[in-house]
Amino acid sequence: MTELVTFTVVGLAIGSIYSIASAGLVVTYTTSGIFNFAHGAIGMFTAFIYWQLRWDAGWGGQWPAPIAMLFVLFVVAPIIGIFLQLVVMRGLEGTNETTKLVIPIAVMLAFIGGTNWIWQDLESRIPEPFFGRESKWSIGDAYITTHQTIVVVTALLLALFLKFLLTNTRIGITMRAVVDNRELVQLNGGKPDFAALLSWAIGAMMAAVAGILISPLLGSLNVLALTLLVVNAYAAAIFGRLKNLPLTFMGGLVIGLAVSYWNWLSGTGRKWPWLSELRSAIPVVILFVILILLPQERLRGSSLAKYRESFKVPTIKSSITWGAIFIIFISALTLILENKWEFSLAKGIGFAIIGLSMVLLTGYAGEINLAPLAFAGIGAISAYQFDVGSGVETGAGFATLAVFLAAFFGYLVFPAFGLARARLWGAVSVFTIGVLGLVTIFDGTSGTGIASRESMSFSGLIVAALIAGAIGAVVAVPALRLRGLYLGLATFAFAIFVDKMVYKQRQTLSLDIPFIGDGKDVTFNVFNNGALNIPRPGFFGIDFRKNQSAMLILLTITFSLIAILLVILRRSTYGRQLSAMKDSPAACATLGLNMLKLKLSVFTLAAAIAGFGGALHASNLRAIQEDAPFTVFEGLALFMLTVVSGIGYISGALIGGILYGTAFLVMGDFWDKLANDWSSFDWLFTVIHDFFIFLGPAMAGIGLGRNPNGIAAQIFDGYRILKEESNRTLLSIGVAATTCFWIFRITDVIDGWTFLLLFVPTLLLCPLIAEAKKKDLETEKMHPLELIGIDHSYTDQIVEDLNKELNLPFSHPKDFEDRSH
Amino acid sequence: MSYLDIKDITVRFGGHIALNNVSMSVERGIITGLIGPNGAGKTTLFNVVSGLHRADEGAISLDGERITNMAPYKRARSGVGRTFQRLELFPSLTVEENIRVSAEIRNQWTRGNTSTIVRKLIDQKIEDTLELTGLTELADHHVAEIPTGKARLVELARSLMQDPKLILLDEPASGQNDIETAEFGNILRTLTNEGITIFLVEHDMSLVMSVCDHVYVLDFGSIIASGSTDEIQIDKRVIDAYLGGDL
Repeated sequence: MTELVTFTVVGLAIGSIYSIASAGLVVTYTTSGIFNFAHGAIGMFTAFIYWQLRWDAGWGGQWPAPIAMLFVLFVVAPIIGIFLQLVVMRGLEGTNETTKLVIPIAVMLAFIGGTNWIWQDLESRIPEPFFGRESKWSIGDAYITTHQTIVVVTALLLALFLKFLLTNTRIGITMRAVVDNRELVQLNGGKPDFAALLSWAIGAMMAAVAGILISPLLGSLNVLALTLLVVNAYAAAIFGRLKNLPLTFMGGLVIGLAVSYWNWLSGTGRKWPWLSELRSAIPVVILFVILILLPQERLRGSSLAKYRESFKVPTIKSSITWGAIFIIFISALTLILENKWEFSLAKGIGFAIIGLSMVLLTGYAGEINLAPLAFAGIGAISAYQFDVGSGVETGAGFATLAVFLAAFFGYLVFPAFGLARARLWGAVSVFTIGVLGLVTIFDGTSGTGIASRESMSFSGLIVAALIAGAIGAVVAVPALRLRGLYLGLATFAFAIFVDKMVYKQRQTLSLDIPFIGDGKDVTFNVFNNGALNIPRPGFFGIDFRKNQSAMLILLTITFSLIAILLVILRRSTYGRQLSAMKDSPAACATLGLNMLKLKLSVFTLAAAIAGFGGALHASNLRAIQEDAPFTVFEGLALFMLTVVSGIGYISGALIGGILYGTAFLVMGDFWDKLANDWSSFDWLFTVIHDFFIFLGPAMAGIGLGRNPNGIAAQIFDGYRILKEESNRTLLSIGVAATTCFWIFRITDVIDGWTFLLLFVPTLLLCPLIAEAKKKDLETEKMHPLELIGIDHSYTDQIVEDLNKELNLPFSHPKDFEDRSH
Repeated sequence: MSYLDIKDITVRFGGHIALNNVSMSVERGIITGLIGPNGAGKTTLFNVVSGLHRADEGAISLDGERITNMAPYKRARSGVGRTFQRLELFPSLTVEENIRVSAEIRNQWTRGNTSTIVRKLIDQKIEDTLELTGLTELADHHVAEIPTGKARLVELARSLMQDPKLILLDEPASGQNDIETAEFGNILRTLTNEGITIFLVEHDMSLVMSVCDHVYVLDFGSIIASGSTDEIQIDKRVIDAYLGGDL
């Protein structure tokens, strides 16, 4: 009984905090139509500020709790909310769903990066509960702390306040009306801008209350853990379908109680070691289940105007040409780059390969997946377990597994290509035999005791792709009916689930697998002490272990090949169907397309690409940890940067990957070097360095996220101009200059930094010059007719144009003059 | 027995009754019109027939087979094609690709075969349909770039690639000029000559009166009249509700 009361109270307290946080989320969503992904991060950030004021030095000593509280809630939080609305979110009205998702994600990453920047030192920051840890009262034998009491009472008061605000006040009703029709509110004399500001201020305040109340329960303040805790509230908000506040509050309590009772039942995770981390994953499991069980909106079309983005598709021929140029270019670079930089570049291209899975899934098919790196992580772990780390002989068993997976994979993917019955089974058989062949040929060391193997085989990569694909299918099946934001949240929940249940898994799995391990049990150490050492590949007779150049080129070739395959796919029947599904599911249904098959196949394919890329990427890094590089937040950052770069393009994946994996680090290095070289400006360069490292990706997202086509389109438009006849000279100068720099570098005339300083500006300047030239020409041509002769003199050209415009027979100005004489 | 049989269909949106016990039948091989003021429930009825919206009550049968609870894509496969009042084209694709994707989808569930002969057949059919709808010159344009009147033809062409037995046309003439509408009427007659049944929602009375063999009039979710075009034009209820009389 005592335990029941205790765990109920704990559950109610946590649940109350979830309720408060989710109510804030609902308030901003109902008034702005934007799902504030940054909500959790705002709660985390304000909790840090509160800690700073209350428990650390503050400004002029530790502040008393009420004053610190009032300051954070009524000064800091509203300022954050208002600033966000004015500067970032207001511009999102009328943009598409992906943009509405990406910008708040960028804001979230900005808060996380900013907090890491401000509170850099690794001291432990321990916020105390209100009235201390000892202040409590009792019911029977059970104790209830004052902090818990305060939490529950606050939640109740806030619930009543919100209810009153939204139903009984004029501004509250305006806030709700703004969502339905902003213009109409304006026409009726409402103030939509003010209402939106107020809702963001209130939303940020609720996040702050939740952050401050929950932080003492965590022990020491931790940026990601605190953010994720508030993220748990998202499930409660979905419980209320993002609009119903009473249901949202109830959802929060249900989640809190579920977590608490699970802790009771499982002895805080000790009873079932496999499920020890489930307590932190329960909220996202609930989120996933609620999303699936919610009645879905009907298939609904969208008018043309809604799609601002339009991606041009390259021809297969040009994609092959570009692939070849890319491989040659990178190969040339390997001759002059130091190992360290080759590694950075390889990292970027590794992420870019994973990014290709998003191009297929989100860019081509319009399905949002916020867990790209979870599939990459699964791929890396699979490659490790089945190729490197299982400590058993493989051979036949390995082949059996590959055959089974290949058949499953083929069965899921091929029907979408129009294969049925005999043809389907034929294709699946051919594919399976092909995989078996590959696995047998490339698994040169099979049967020799894999524990001692020092390199990853090609078959390991294949198995990585197949397992990730299969898991992608398993995740996709329940999520098939979801679209847009809801699909994003479901995949987000999956990413957190993988973070908690797979990356933090310390158990050893012993299985008796037929054909493997000579009848003995096979042991898998799922995530060995928080790190897996993944060796470099060793196939084609090349040693990738010490040769970073070879590794970089391998990644480059892999990227190019998958990219070309994707272009072929996009230009096929399958690709057209994906585009059609993205553009109008309603029309697809009325054309007789079974979209479930199509979605399942594209999810499986994309997850397989991510798994393959993940295994290769991990093998380049040589190791993966539980907190890098495949966590949920890193996945969000990569997704965001790929969208910003142009998720509909192959080059978008490349730019996104290189931005994320290479560019910000190199920029950081650059300012670091400057700080070393000019020590008198040390502080300035350090600040710039920190800015790039902590806030670079987030700022890129916020700054560039509004362009629905991404930066890839702009860059390529620029380079397309260079191909025109009039720019041949410029193009040749550019190519010649680049080649010269390359030769200078290879002969050691200039050092690496100088090369970079010469090369990057040349790369960027050429298209800019070309564009400027083109604009000049255009403005000359576009002179408005009615102004001719007023501020510009007549030229032969203008007279000719005028004649053409007015349908007059051509007459030379001279004739005109002659006649007037 | 009529080809499409709509029986006692009721659809509610919350407290609002969009369709109230609506029954009508569409006869094989002719053009049946459905007119009525905005908000009368015409598009809702089309959504119910094509399966995008489930009716709360009532039954629909196509050629004697009940399709009330059939998934939209299965209805399409049993011969129901449609166009949309608010265009539902695929803006990532060109005009030709919009039509091609439809042919390919059909090919997948009928033959599941992509041999050279089949591909040639598809190409031929696309060419013919482009010609019929006068879109040949626009074939390589992206659909986002073409005027609404032409876009409506793309939707029709796309639907025709499915070899539908019944086409639901939702305000195909809006966005078309008089000449285009007249041409559109000719296309519709060509289609009925080929045996396709047409169910037409339209505000353009010149089109309705010139092509329809039978007309239903819907107002506030109920049928207020039905009959030939001549009968409809003199029906008092229709004039009051929709057409407007002489003052």
